[in-house]
Amino acid sequence: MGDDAVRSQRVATETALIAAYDRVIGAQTTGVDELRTFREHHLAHLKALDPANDPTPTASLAVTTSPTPQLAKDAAARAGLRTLETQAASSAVELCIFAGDVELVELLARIGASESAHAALLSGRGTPG
Amino acid sequence: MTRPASRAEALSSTLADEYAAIYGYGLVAAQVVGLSKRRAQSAIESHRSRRDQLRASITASGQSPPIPAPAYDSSTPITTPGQAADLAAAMENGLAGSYAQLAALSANAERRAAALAAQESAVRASSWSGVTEAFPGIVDGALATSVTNPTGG
Repeated sequence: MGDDAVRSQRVATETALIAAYDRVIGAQTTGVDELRTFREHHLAHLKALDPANDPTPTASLAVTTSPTPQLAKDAAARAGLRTLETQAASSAVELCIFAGDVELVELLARIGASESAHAALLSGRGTPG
Repeated sequence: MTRPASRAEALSSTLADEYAAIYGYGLVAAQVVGLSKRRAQSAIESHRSRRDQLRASITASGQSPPIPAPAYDSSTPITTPGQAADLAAAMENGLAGSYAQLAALSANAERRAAALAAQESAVRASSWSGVTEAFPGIVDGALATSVTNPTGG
């Protein structure tokens, strides 16, 4: 896998993460500011990987009436994002192995570090105390 | 902190950061209690392990690993739990950046280990600060401004 393929794969991952955050943020009632911050991080990742990329925000999920309590839905949505962040961080490590350009490797390592921390914070492990 | 020019430089500078972190966590552990103290003690053990791995890598390359500085200075007094948490977060962020640079200048298993170490440090930083950055450790000198070797070694 060459650097262009590595970059393209990572752009796809970041684009998917931004879309996932867009969907969740629209339906979330708690912790929205944190999710918006993480979404901004992914936007920064995307721009670092491909400065010409300007993703269009996807439509937010409509809030639907449901017998499921909102807090439970919020928790489930955060758990889903946590899983995506963990997968993305793991993928970043693998892409580091394939990348040749040292600046791309360093960028991927920092992106993976950010996503690993996102996952920890989404799980509550990042709570100071 | 300037960008290392070679794998050897990256290994040595990351090892120096690990020495500083082990010292710095001693300051942190002295100011915190309960879960935070256990977190600091766990971090010390993790950084000792990373230190030993880095020393082994340098030795395996036929070089002599640098030794710890005789003393370190904290840029600000560490007399409260909040200051201790700030120091821990700054040290871990600095290490995340150091390991990202080491990943860039190494290959294969060593690159993988460095990328994972960057993630571990970013997670620990977030555990102290409650936040993270888009590019952890991107601020050059983050570690140098938190715990420094006054002798310049």
